[in-house]
Amino acid sequence: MLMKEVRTHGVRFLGVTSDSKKQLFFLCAAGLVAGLINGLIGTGGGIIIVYALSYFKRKRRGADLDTEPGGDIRDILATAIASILPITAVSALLYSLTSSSATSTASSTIKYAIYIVPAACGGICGAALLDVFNSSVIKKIFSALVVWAGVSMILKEAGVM
Amino acid sequence: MGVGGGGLLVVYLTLARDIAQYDAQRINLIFFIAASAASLIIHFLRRKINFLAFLIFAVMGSVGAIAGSLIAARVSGGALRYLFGAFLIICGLISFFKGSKRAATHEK
Repeated sequence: MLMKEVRTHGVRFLGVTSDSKKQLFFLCAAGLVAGLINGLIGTGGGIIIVYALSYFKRKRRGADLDTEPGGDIRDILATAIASILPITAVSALLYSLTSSSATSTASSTIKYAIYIVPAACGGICGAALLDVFNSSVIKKIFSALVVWAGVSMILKEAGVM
Repeated sequence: MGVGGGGLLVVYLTLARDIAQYDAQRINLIFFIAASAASLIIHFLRRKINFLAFLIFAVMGSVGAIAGSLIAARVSGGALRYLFGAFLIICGLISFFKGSKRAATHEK
């Protein structure tokens, strides 16, 4: 049933005329990598999913691989968020089960529970503002901050910071 | 934007609060569930979610997540931190230069 659906709907919703079995294999591989990264470092799986879905959108649009699909990217982000939720839940469950202390997960969660409400509010605001807030300058600043954060972590672990 | 926020919380917990990398990742996973579940309400109402892609990613991603989580439990905290830092740098650089390239294309 799943293979039939892919053949019927795969070319249509992904917009690529190549073999749908290749598409299915690519999506499965991307899902596996996304889950692996999410389980390994606790985040990052969503980025892989967004890149995987964006790849098919860009191929459909032609040779210019840097063309923003426009309104489609928001549907891609929505699919990525929906997909990453079960992956994150599985990772969180395993992290809790493999934790060194049986009560550490519960105590950590209670201790940092103050952040849950801002996290949920931030998620809602971010989703609502996605249509309005799309500045390339803000994205560049955020990207630079992310690079700085990565460098800081490595330097701190190396004992330099 | 749906991506990127999780890294910031881990960075804060490890750099500012000096929490072990594995514990910071565990806390981040729990809070990401809250954030993404909340944002999903909006996305369900406004966007078109590709259900078949969601199913594929959910199933295969869960398999990968099991493997990744088990590996993370056995790897040292230092190695996890190096991995995390490297991942942030790669994603930040790709995002930064991808935006520059796109802006240059539009200017032409």
